[in-house]
Amino acid sequence: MYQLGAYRGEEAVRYAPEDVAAEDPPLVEPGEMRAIPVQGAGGTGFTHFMDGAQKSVAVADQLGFPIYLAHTSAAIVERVGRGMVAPGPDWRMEKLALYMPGFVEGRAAIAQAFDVVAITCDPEAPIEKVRNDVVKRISEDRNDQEKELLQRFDHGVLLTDGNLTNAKRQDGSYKFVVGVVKSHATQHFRSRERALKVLGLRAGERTPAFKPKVSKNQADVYSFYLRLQARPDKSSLYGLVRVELPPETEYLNRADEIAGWLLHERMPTSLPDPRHDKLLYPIHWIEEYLRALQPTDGRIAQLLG
Amino acid sequence: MIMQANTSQEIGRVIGTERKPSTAYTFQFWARPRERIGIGSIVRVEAVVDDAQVTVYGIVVEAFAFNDLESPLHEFLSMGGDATITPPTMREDIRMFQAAVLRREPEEPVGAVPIGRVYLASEDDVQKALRTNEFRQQFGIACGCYGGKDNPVPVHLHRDFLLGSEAGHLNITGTSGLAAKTSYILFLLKSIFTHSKTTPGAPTVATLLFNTKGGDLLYLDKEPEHVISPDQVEIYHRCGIEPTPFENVEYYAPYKHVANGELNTVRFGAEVEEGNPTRPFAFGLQDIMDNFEVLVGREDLDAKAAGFLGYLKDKYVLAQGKLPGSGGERQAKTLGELTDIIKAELRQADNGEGKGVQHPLTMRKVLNRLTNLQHRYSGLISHDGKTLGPLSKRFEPGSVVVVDVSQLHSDAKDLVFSAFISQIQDLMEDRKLGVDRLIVVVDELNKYAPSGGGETYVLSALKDISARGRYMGLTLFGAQQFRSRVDKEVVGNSASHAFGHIEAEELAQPGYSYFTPAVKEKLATLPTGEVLIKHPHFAQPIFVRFPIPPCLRGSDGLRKYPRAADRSLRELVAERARQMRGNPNEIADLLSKMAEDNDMANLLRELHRAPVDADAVAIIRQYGKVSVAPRKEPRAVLDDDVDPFA
Repeated sequence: MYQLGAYRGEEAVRYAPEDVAAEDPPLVEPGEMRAIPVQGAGGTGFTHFMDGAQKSVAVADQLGFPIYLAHTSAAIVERVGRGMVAPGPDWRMEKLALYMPGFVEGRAAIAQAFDVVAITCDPEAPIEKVRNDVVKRISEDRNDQEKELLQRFDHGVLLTDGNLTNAKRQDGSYKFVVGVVKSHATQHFRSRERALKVLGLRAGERTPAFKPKVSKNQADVYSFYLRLQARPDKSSLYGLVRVELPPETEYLNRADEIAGWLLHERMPTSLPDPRHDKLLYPIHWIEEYLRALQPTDGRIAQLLG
Repeated sequence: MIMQANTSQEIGRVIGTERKPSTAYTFQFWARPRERIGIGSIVRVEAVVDDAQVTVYGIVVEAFAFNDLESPLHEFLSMGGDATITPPTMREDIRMFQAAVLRREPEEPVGAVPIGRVYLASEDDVQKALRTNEFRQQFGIACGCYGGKDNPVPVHLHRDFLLGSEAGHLNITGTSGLAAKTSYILFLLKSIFTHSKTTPGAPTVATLLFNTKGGDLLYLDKEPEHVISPDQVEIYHRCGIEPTPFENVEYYAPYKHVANGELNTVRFGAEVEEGNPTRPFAFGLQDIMDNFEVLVGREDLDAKAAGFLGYLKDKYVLAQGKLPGSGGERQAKTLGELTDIIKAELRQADNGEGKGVQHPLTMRKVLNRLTNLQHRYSGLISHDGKTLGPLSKRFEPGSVVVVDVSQLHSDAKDLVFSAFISQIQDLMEDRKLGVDRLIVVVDELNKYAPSGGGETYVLSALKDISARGRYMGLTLFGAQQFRSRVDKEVVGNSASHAFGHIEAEELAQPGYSYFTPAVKEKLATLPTGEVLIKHPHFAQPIFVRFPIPPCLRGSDGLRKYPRAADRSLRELVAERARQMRGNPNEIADLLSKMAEDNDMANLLRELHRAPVDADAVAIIRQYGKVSVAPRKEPRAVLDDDVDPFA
């Protein structure tokens, strides 16, 4: 097993000792796996941007079981001209609540002061398992907020942080939504040749679109890798994002154009955020906006009395 | 600065961080980028503290803007080092302002400014913030307008703190030639006269101004040629002032030469002088004795010479004294008579007849200086020893007196200024000003009241006026280019201060450390028609706009009424006579019959001395019968002796 690209804690890229092309996802654009120089990075068509955020603090425990105070939020922000416009209440969701195992709810005095999300857990389960269930529920709430906003979105061209699972409508259709996945926890191309093609992309190059293998909870999408930034002193994952498009021919035909939009969005960078190589500025803007909605540590201490 | 009349527009919130908290007298707030606020804007903070409403008024003294960058390098990297790129998204930025507290309600306790909502001040807010709502009706003197052109709000100074007696005096600083000092003083004088005229119980006011250069103050009663824009007319109206020229203006100027009746001024000619001719002023013998120090220079007047002058004044000027030997009783009324007396004293000393009052060398020195005065200050010293000019009578309420010294050389200007200040001081002491408040406008305080210089007579008088004048009806409006170089006492005794455009070098002086860097920078670039006002009733200085003066500008006046070619004495006499009462044909006939060698200069002086409504024909007839013999010029002294002081 080879390992490439492990650098400063980033995910390691692994590929099989032998080329196993059959295990790789199929390409949906004509031609071989290759680096495609993106044309037309001179403008952008994105009009809206979406992201979600959460902040949780372990505030107490009951018989060793954790109780979290969590703030979850999501927002779709429109860009008018070149300015990001703070969203109105229809395009912003937030929730502050105590998250705790359901079996301790009645015994926690702190529960009187907040909305409570009681999570169904096995009281006999190990504490760590219960803790994970609670934390997972916080993420699910944030995910639900994102989903609700995505389902509401009805006009413009939206760029969302992450995959497009939440963007699929109940009838299976999509609005014009593009997802940018910054992490590479899932390695889609396992074969050496294709993995090296991905890792060898230069700034401004993309792979042909492919159809990732997805789990049953995920939506079918088209995707391609795109190198936003490159620096010789950085790892091979530096500036590399995976772009998701609705699985429709219209979007496939516009893959190069959309890649060009994303390259155009590289400026301004989201410095000083350490993820600035992959974090596009409008998404960074929403992160900062949502962070401003979160209660500060001082406010949390005040709320808890 | 946009302002609502009586409604307030919410524009931002107070920010208090651990690193930069609100204090009792300053606070910071953010505001939306589109809000038109800046240095000098007045805002109102509303907050509820312990269920009680707290209102704080503040004035913006500093402005900040920053975005989400931590380092300039990040921006450089963002652009790939290419300045021509326009990114699709603008970086988020924030506009922050620092404000100084003007007022709070309730007044107590004086705690830190609460974290509250920030509103742009309405007209009512401005009045409350500056406390003018408490005194405007009875004591308010408009000093300009705060706010934008859309809705200028008049700002008032408290009369008793501007003219006395609670406080008093105004000091104004501004770069010369940028229409800051003179224009603002004229506007303020219009406002003061309007207040005095229209407010029941207001004191009567008159003003004395010195025209030191050009024709700035020589056409105050003439309609302007420049257009007063609607914005400026609106300021006049909001301040309750009619944009009309000054009324009741008198102009005074010295003679060109003692033997010449022509006035030394650029304001002359039938058209400009019609109904309001320039009047002469000249100093009498007593004025000369009182201001001898200025005339000869302080360093030239040692104790012995001063003692001899005192002796002469007491014995021969103020009284009739016996000449040494068998000279009889004499009183000197003119400079010539005094020099004759000194010569007599000197002869006795030289002859060893009795003990002289001073050493002959001292006497010769004084004689020499006095003799030279007639030539050095030609036109300023009265030929008959009598004082001529505005101070020989009481000031009339509402009158503006302009003394034109623009054509005099520097020493002569000093003499005029010194003599006027000392005489005004005397009138003040004797309560003979004639009005409740006399405003004396003194430009170039850098020259007349310099800091770090020796104690001159003028400085001493100015200090005295600035210290005590407000109790005695005398108000000083002093102006200078460099405030840092004016005597601290003169500046410090001014309760109100105005600052126009000031050069950056001057603003770097310690005396301006009171202002924030932003206020200083605004002062360094202040446009014409705006000043920063500091007044005892305002907790912080405030910028106000003022309009262009409603009278003919000096440059326009000089162009409109150009100086004619030199005229003969006969022509001057004819012109002066035509300005007075009398049949023009008869005047022309009388003048044509007068011999060429007749003493036209003396006739011209007589005509100048007479009031403008006097009968010129009668004066010419009388003069023709009793022609004043030409005064014998003082003989040059020591012409056959060696002048040890030459």
